[in-house]
Amino acid sequence: MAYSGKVIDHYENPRNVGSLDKDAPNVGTGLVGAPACGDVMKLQIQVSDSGVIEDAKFKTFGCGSAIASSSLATEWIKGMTLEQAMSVRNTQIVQELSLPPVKIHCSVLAEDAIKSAIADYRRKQRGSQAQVGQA
Amino acid sequence: MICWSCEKNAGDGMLCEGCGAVQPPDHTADHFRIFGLPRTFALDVVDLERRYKEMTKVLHPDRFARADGRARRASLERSVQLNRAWQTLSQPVTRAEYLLSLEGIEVGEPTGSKNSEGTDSRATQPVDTALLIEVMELRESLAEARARGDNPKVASLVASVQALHDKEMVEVAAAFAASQPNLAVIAARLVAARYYRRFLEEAEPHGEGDKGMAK
Repeated sequence: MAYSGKVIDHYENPRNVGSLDKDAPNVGTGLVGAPACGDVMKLQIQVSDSGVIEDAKFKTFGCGSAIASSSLATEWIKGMTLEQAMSVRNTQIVQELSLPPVKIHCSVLAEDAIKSAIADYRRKQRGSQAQVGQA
Repeated sequence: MICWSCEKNAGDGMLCEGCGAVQPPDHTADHFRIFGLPRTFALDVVDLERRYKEMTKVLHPDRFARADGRARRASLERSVQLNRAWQTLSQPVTRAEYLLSLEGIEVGEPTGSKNSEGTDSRATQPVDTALLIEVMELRESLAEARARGDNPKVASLVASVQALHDKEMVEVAAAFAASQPNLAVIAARLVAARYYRRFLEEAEPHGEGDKGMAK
């Protein structure tokens, strides 16, 4: 399959590869997988007190399109508010990377990973607020 | 079915019961019916292979080299159908996934690929989080072992993941043997087996892996 130039660029020079401390209260971790291809994608966000994503990291084991989709996703959401990041759509990733139809599920995976990381962060925040309330 | 050649009842076989002309395939037949077998996971692969070889002989292109165009086309279409059925049923993994697909559960295909707009966020089936954490850790261990050039560690990871894969398939066979097979449980085990196979493919000493292995 012919990959677009942007996919190859993200694959060869992936942005923001790595991990954040998954136990930190201001870090949200999203872990998603595509059963058909056996891909697994981890995307983490570090959120400031004002609700802005100040850092994002990913680790993806999968095809070039999955790596490029998650690399692009972390690049985009850095500096966004959680609400802005929630509105990132996989179609935007498809367009930016010119993904062919058979690789659309890779972009869906990246969108799901962002949402799942935000959900994890919000769960943690609710948890710590509840603890503060109890104290 | 009416035979295209003698225009009498052809019966259900590959060849017309009356004149022996090869009949076009029934495209609605599932892979099991092509072999005259019931839909079951626990089939005798030796018996399946015997049936496959006999049918292949009947459909051999040499027998139709000088035949009517319709007979040649029918035999070719039958061969394509037969080979697909054989490839699917002869392997436990594909046989199990096929049985689930007959029940409307797709383990193999991402449902998102059917949506050309790519707008459906629910396209990916949810995968058990514990499995994803396990696979992520295994893949990280593999990447680290390779980076160190630690071949014994790579080999031991491969052996343990192979064992995990084989265990899932043993459980799949056991689950199919139940009087009321729990298809959701079987699907989850097949998803796990897929992840383990992807790991094993990745661990094979070729492609990208060579960089790490050569150190």
